[in-house]
Amino acid sequence: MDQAKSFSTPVPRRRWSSTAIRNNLNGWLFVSPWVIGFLVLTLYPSLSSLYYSFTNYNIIQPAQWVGLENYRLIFTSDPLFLTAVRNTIFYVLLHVPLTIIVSLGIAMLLNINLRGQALYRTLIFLPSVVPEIVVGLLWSWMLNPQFGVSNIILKALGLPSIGWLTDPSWSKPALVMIGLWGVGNSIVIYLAALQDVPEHLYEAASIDGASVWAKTRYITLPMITPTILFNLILGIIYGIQTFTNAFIISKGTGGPVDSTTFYGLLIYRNAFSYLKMGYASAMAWLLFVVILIITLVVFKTSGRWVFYSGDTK
Amino acid sequence: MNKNLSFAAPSMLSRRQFLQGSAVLATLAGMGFNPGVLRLLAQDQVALSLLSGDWGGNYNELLKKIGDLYSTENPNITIDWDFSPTQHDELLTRIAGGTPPDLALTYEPNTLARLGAFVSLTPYLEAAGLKRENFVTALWDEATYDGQLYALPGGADYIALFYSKDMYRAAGLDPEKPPTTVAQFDEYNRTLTERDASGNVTRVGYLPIAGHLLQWGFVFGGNWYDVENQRVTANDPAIVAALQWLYEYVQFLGYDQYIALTQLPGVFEPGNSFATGILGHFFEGFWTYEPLDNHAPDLDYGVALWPTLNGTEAEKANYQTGGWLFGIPSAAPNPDAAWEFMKYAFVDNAAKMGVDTVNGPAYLPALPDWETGLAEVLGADNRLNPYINVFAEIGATATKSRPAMPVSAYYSDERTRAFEAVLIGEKTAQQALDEVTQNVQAELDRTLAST
Repeated sequence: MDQAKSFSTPVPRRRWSSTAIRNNLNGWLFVSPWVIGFLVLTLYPSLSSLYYSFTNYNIIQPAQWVGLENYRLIFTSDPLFLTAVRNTIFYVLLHVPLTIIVSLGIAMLLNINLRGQALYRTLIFLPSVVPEIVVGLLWSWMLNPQFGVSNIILKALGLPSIGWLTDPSWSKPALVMIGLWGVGNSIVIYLAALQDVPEHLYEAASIDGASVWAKTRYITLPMITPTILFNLILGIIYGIQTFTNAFIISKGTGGPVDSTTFYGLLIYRNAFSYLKMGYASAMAWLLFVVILIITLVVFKTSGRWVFYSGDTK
Repeated sequence: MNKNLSFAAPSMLSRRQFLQGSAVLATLAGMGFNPGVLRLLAQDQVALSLLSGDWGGNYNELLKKIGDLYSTENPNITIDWDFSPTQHDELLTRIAGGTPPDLALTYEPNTLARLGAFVSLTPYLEAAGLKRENFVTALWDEATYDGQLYALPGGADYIALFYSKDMYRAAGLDPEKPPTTVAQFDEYNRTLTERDASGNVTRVGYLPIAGHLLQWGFVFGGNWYDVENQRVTANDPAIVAALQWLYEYVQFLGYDQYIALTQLPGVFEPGNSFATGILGHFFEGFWTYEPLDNHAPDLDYGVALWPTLNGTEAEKANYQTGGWLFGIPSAAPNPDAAWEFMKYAFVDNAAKMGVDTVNGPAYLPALPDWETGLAEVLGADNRLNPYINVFAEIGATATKSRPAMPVSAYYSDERTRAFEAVLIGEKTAQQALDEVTQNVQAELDRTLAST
């Protein structure tokens, strides 16, 4: 502190009192489980995999440095690389917008004061707490073309049955559908945001004779754009890393006919089936860089459409 | 600690006491999870740790029976079984972590042997006087690398043709004359196929799966891998012919019909297509007698050898037999004891092991005793009883192995991709298999160059 600019009474020099030291140490002690967990279980493995991405590590033998060879191989010699990228992009472009629209729509419905509102909210949130593996197994049964419930319903409605998981053109839409079943998390976040929109704005709009659609368009949506941005970024990050459902439904093959071979699945296969841990690490870090770039782009362009209620614009 | 508050607060631990207590508890907890530490304290005790796979349902954990028998005869040795559904991943993790098991199940002995994951068993085998001819040569060859054997064949999967005599009779086929050639098999399948008024297939002969492609390739007279020259030969004309034949058969059924039928419950599940008279043929091992007894108790069925190209005796050598093997990881704590147990289970008592654990023995001299033992367990009136010799015959004649090469998992995945792409009509058999050859050869060359 520059004492020449301070108040007339001299401010004593800052010194750590024993209480302050103890409080500081206590604070660190309280967060130590998380910090240790982060360092040991997240940071160390991440940095290790960065190191391994420059080696030909196969788990059993010691790693040998190969420089950028793995990264070069990804682009030049992997016959499934482009397929995996295409499948992942298709999935993200389908999954992310649909998730936002569906979860926002349901959240708006759940925001209406109805009898049983709490019951509806609970029921709609329940699917999102089911473990991912269980979701995959459950849906493989429900979508079975022969005896699955979904085709029985289609037949009852007089519609042709769909080869959900056996037809390459339906496998990704089926996975998106399964993903939409578990949007409870996003709904809860949107609900909180919707309830944060100040009532007086709606009242003022009503006085001006605004319709429900006008209110939604000019008040609700702009006010919750920060939440939409949050869900958009999370949706992209998790969508690009999609793995579990595809793995269960295709039993690890990425079928039918490579239609569910996502980038994450390719990483898993290379790492654990083919013992190419170095190569798989390189794929993983490439994915990290791509997700980082996309996230930064979304952030940079968000200024144009996101409205923070502290702003005057 | 603020002593002024002692009248109000219960006696609280100081931070130092808390940390000391936690450290002691954590150490005890860590030790408690390591029974090996406690066992080492006992004199002359050997604790063998075995990592095996989870074979599901009734078939899981059966190997414990032979383990328990061994412990009864050798009281100073205890066996710690780990039946893991992800046994491959677990083995890798344990090797990387420096705590490998004494014995590990493997389906990829060549890949792991090449990387030095296993101890060479050749010295042990020579000392015991055991040779290649004593075992199912297909499995022996798979586990051989650089002239040494790195995993002992434990169980062989003798796969035969199961056929529904009831469906044969209904279609006008002789139930005691199952097909012996590929052409007959094809003809029978077409005869067994029935459609309803809207063209949907209601009865079908055979539903090919990707896993069968390996065997069909061999049966048609092809070879998937040239071991001497380390060349991948997936586009062998005989193999192309096999895949083309499968494509034409699925075309005859109709691709959508075929796909729909493959989604029906499989033979291990209740209400399956074989039990309900929809499927006429399937290929499986002898252990299928149990689900057949459970789910199709009244069905009259028979078993025959996999149809060969021309039905000759010599062609039986083209059968491929897979199975499972056990290896001793390089840094295993008790390699000699591990070998003793392996020899006990899979050589000296192979017949008993096979009968008790519902496996086919890979040690050929055990086959006659195994047949007798299995017949006793099944009982005289079990429908499988007259056909046990079929399975034993496969063991005695089969010579072809899964490709014994480091990128075998990649090769297997590529075969599946080719199978699916051809059946749906995306690629021709020649195109698909040319690609497999190219991709796998490139991968193989890279792997051979780098390790």
